[in-house]
Amino acid sequence: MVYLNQTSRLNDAEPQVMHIDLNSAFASIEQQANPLLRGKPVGVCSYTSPGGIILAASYEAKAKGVGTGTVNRDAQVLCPDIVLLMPDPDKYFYVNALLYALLHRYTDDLTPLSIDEFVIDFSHSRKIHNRSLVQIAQEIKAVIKREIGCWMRVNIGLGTNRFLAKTAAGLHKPDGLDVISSKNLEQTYSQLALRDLCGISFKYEARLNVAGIYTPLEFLEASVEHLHKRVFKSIEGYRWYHRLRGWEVDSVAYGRKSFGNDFAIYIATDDRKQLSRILMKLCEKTGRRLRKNNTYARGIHLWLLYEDRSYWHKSLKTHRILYSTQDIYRSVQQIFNHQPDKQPIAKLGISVFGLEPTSPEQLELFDTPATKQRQIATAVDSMNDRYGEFTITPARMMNMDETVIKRVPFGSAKDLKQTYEQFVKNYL
Amino acid sequence: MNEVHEVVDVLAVSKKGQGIVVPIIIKWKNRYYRIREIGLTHPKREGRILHHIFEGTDGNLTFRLNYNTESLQWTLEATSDGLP
Repeated sequence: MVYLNQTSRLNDAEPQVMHIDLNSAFASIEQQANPLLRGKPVGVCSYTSPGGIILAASYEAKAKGVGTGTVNRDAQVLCPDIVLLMPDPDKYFYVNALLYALLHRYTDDLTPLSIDEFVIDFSHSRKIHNRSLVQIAQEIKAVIKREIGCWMRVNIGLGTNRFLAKTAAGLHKPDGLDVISSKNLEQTYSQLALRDLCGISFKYEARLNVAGIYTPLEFLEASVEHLHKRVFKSIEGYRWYHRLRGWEVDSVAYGRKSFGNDFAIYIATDDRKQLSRILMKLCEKTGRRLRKNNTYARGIHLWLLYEDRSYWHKSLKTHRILYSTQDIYRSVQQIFNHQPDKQPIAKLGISVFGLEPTSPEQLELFDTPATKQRQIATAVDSMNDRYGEFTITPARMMNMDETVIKRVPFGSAKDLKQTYEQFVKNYL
Repeated sequence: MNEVHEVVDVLAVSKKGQGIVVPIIIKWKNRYYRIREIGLTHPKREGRILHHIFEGTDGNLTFRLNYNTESLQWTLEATSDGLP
């Protein structure tokens, strides 16, 4: 691995990694779809009620101080003419699948990092040898505007590793195009703060400060021993040492280890009946994802956030496999009954873990109730595939169409590549 | 967006190279609206039924139209005047 080679040298290779970031993705897509919103402050939020949270703000809203995480009521004070919209995940997914298809023309080495970010490694690509990557980046920007929509703008960054490419993409928003190489690395760091570096959270910044590091340049100058033993106290010290110098340490694909869903309740409640209905819907959504991926689970996790912001969670490893919604619901209720304080709950989530592929399947000698339940789950899923999600549901979920609605999968990109490829095959 | 959900009359044209019909005129509540710009279209599946969603404007209102490829009907799902 690169980080074991403790070179202090900057990576002086030509930048071959391109990071593409759709500017204010969801808000820009809404402005593209509705021309009357262009040039106006727009916020795509979790709910349009005053307590909702802004998920994506347009650049016009950002200019007035509204950003991701701003509460709607604050956003309306900062920017009284802001247009608040509910998210439309199908639309965002489609635009990103289009973007994926468009970028795929340039190289196969394309990785979606999240629903609005892609990274391309051109180092093994033969298609573009006669043009510079800056020219390719300019062409990508033009093609996006021509083929997806005139309001769609992307930031593009080029670097010798993913970290520098992402840092470059964030230098000039919106519609930026920047390159960070060994020649301008130190000059770029000199204009940034520690928190501008992707991966440096408030807590990491505090750790660096305690160790006498206050700027990215001081971070760059720190020795590998200092970062390893005094700052991060883990292998992260080695990784940061090489990451900052432009060596690739982040090109690692992690497999999926769990499936989960959560839900924030509008008014915190301890009503057992209501909570059971929400839990059932969370179990159904999680179960659908588990089964669509042809997996069983061997464990379940429940977490609860109470009205007073205190937190409780518990995991359970199960002897029996979890496959049907009823299996999951039964186990989650078992955990739910263990909570020590039954206070009003503001947010709750479940996840299943210990994933195993369903094939090859261990056949049972006799039909057991569990086998029958698995067959029922498969039959119900195929009916929902044919006639639409939640056509057939457990009775406990009746009249819950608008509860635990479909959400945009922030952050996680584990299934995106496969899903985009499937989508491109079916629709484009 | 103001939710509407009404089946409406639509005059659409099939454009060479775009692979799908494009709505041009909508008749809604006995008024005709000429779509001047389609902002975005996207497909949406409800079970086996494929819908195409069109968002387009006549300059004063933006219309979200749903074309059901099974029933071959157009539904006006929502309108927006672009104001809060």
